[in-house]
Amino acid sequence: MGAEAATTFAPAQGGLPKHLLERYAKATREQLEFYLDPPSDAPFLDALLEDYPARGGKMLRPSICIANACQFGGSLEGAVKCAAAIELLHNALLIHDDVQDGSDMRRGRPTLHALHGIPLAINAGDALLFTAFRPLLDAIAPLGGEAARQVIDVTIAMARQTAEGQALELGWRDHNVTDLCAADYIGMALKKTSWMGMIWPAQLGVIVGGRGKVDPGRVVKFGHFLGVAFQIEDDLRNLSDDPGYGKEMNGDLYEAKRTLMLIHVLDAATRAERSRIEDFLALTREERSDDEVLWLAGLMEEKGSIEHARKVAAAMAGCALEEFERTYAGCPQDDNHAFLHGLVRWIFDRK
Amino acid sequence: MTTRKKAPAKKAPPKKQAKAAAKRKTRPTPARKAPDRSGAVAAEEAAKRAAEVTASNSADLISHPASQHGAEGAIPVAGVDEAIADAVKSGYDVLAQSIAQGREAAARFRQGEYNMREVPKDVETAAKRVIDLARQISVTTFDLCEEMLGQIGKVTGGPPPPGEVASGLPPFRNLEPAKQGGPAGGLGAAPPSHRTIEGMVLSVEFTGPPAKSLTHHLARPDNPTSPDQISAAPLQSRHPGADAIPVARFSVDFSRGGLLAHIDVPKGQKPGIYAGLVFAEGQDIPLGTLVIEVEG
Repeated sequence: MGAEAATTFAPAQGGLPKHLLERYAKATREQLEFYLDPPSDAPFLDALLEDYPARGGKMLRPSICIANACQFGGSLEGAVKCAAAIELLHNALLIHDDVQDGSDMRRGRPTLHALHGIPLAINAGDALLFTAFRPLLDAIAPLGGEAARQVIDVTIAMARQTAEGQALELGWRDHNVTDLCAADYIGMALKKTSWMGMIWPAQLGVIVGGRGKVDPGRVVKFGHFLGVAFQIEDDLRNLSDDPGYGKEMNGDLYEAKRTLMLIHVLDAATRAERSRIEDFLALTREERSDDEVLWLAGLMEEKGSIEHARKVAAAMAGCALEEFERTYAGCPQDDNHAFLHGLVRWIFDRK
Repeated sequence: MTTRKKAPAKKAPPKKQAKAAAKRKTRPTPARKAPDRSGAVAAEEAAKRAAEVTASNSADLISHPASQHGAEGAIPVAGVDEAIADAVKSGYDVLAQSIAQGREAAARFRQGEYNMREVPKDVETAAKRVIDLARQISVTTFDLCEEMLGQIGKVTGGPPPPGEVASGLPPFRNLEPAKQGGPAGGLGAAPPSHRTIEGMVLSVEFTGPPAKSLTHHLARPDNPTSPDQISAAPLQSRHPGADAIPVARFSVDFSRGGLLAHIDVPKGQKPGIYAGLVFAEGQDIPLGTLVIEVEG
């Protein structure tokens, strides 16, 4: 276990051991500073690259990577470059996501494209994406051929899955697809959220910690259900009074995002209500009125769509707990173990 | 439960029956004789957990394992809301499908690009694979990066400093022969055809109402496998009310050197698309998804 030997379990808010999260976040930020420190200041670029990473963030994905590495025999030092790569790639995708979604705010400040325009923002996203390969390749170097191959394999799989998930979400919205079922949504959430946010960081940790001797497929199920539960809860919060830091209440309805609640209410609605929903979805974002958004939000409550989604989120959390015990059976019962287990509870308790 | 039938004439009085039942040693009936790879077992276990979490109506039950282990399995699956059980099943199903698709994509990539045995210490190849990753996400700046990384094998002593790269590069996009079906090396380049090498040709023979297969290849099993060791989950439609269609059996198609599936489409089967995972015995990852269309 090296540097990550068992310490006293100190649960923080959200069920995560706070000191561990802080330590992993600090180590990751140091790596980010190193890799984002350019030899010269390129105008219209370097300042943009540093913007999103500097806005903070919980560093949950990097911590998932490091905790997995420690669970499977590695150390913080051995995994932190992978953790930095994860955070850089995550920020790169956020820049592109914000452009694709037309979002105005990110982490309490205007989005990069709102500040600098779409072309420069996309360029910065691309550059940040490529910057992420540097720590990833640096992390691969000392691992040996087999582990390096696994890192590239899981990274390519993640990229494909994430792109597919994003394509599904955007395609459903742009083509006004309404004949979706819960399985479609879960499949999209697996690709869009679970793979990049949960599965890939965990897989990198497993490979680095186990030096290629542990099957990275081992963590897929846990990450899958964790990610789906997270996405549903995230969608639910968007409809609540507290949609989350820097997010707009009912923003998903204004964007006609295909959520589990929307899929449910389309099924549960009367013919007339369904027709009204479909008319609403066919509008552009600017055309969707506050009144119609509030009507749809109310209908979701009335038809039990919110309650249904809550139950499914809890069910996915239950699946994640079940898979956690299979995945991490035999691993040390230390803070890293508690952290990974605590992620399930954190989904519901996070601020 | 294994119990033995007794002669009705020697029926014991109720008290004795209860005593005998208390003394009787019983052995649980084995749930199955062959591995169950449908995901149903895992889904069932997970559904129990889901019921616990749902019943609590909060995340209070999700505590540290130290306090959690003892409470496991307290709520029977029968108590799980049907819609929730469906969601749990969907959760496992979509994961299995994604893994199968990922496996196929990985096989395609490997077969088309290089021999995997050469990979481990081949930095140039690793770099190419990273570029493929980049292609999946963005195209804007990576043509240049690809060009640079393509030089790794040609430039000794590591990559040159910025600014010195361009002069040493051959003309753009001349590094590799053009790929089939699209612009050389670009995003639109079609993946090289590998299926007949890495995958397995699938033919489907139908009886009953007209139908056609939309799946023409499956992944090969990892181990030597006979046709009777291949099975498929009943083909399901996404539309409620449409009955599932079982796959009768698999056999070898000597004419094409592949696998032949036999499907009896029931009379009156609702037209539409039906799909089910195909498994090989002893292998958890499905060989692919068999998709058919029942025509109207």
